[in-house]
Amino acid sequence: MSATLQTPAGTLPAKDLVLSVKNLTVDYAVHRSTFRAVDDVSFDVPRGSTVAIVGESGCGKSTIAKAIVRLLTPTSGQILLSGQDIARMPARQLRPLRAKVQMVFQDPYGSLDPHLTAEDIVAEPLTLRGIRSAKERRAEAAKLIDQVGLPSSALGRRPAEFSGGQRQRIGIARALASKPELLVCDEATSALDVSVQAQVLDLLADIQQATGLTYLMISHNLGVVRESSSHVLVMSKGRIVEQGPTEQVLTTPRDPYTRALRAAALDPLTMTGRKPRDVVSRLNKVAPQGEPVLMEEAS
Amino acid sequence: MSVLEVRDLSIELMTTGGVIRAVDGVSFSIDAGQTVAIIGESGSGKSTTAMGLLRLLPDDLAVISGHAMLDGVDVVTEPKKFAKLRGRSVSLIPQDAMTALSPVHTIGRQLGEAVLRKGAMSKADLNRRCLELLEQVRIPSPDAQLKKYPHQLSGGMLQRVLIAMALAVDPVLLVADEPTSALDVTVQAGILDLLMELQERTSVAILMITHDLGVARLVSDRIHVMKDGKFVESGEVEQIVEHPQTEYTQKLLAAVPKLGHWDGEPQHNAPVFNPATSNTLNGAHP
Repeated sequence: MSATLQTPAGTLPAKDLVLSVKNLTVDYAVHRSTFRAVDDVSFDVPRGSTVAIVGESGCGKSTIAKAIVRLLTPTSGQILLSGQDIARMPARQLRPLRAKVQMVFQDPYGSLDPHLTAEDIVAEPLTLRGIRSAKERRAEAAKLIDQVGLPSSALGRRPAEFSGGQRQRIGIARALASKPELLVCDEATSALDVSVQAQVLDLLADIQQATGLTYLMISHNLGVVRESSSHVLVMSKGRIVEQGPTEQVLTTPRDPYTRALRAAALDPLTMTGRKPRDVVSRLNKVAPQGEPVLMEEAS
Repeated sequence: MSVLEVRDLSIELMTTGGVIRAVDGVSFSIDAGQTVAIIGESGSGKSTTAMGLLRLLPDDLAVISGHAMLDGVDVVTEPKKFAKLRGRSVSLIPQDAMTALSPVHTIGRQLGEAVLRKGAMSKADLNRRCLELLEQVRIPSPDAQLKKYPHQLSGGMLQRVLIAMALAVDPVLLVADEPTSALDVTVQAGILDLLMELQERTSVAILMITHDLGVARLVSDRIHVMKDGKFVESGEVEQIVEHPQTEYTQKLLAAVPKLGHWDGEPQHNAPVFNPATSNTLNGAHP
């Protein structure tokens, strides 16, 4: 399926791709055998765009994120970062490139060092960027904190003193500190209340408008995907089952799995049918053949 | 006839930062066969309301006042009498199925324990009742599942086990605290459908605590929107979702990411609240 659907990036010259993933495969060792978490996945992320990967737990979407930031080494395939393959690049060679790809993590409570102040957290990557003067680092950290919509009084406070949404803003500021070309947001708003989620998505959109930053959004939430991305990849069991412009994939999904995902997603304002039964019957209608969705989880 | 009648319930929590009024004078009732949802964001007091009604908050840290009549017992003023009802007339379906069950005991042992709350029975009867309950919650090959440990089942299956445990005692009220938040959406629909089917058969009243407006819309008859310990808006589900009156409810609805229409579902033609045309929401969200 992925071979027949061209990404909009496919028509662009290679230099305009921040990220190009080719035939990525990741195996995990399980007991004495292996589990293929990501199976021959290819996609492109054009500069300045937002591409989303959507799927349910265990589909491999976070494994892709980890491979792209090289928190793990893929089994095979290529990860081209501005044309340079980092898939199996040795650590020493990779180090100067790490700043180019930054990640915003899911858990705003677990991803910030509780001992550090917001200023320390944001300033740490600045040292790696080679800013030697402490004064300059402080000025830059203040600028970043301001960019993510936090008051300057936030600088001296520690993570425990912030709400989940504020912490996620600090996480974004920390990621921006390395001047990345690509920001990987792995379920960056899943732990937040809907109103806070809307604010964080707005912030990400504002930053993109101002700086032209590129995003790879990893999410299980179709609504978040629709509000944030222009292009979406739908994953199931380690494979991309469908990809295309977000609006098209959500209004006329072609793959049975995408249709099941769409049928099960609840939008209180536009959903029809007032009973779970309506959703279940829609689900069963679109479920992949011989594989009723509701029984899929039975082991 | 109300199964649960709550009048002017307040819950104060003793914290290191002082006394916090987490629930501030809420009143509501639930009839047999009815589902009432309390929706709100984190910190609104919705879970505290549920846990307070079950008297699962520590007595030295939570002060409950007001009235809550369940099965002829005032939950607030008669805690000793109510302790006998908990796990009999009223059951809880907790949020996180993965941690709600003991990892070192089998499903059968834990389900059996719930069944025995009703009274002693022979081993064979107990086994038969456990199998019957697992069948009711549509768990395939129940015989094999009884011997398994929680880590051997998926999240959706564990949630079904918890529902079976809650139903084991034929309760008149089920308190469901975010019963599907930890699950994938395709699994969520099945769990909610199961709950509704069981309600149809047993007329159990359900108090649903959720932050998900979609879930609330799907299962509930009435919705109470909670913020800072108070109900800011209460009403029939259609009224709340389609014609929200208060600014807070409107904002909450506007913040939910929109999915739009798709070709697998007929268009919804009823007049629906449109955040884009609502004056109070300018600038709330694009």
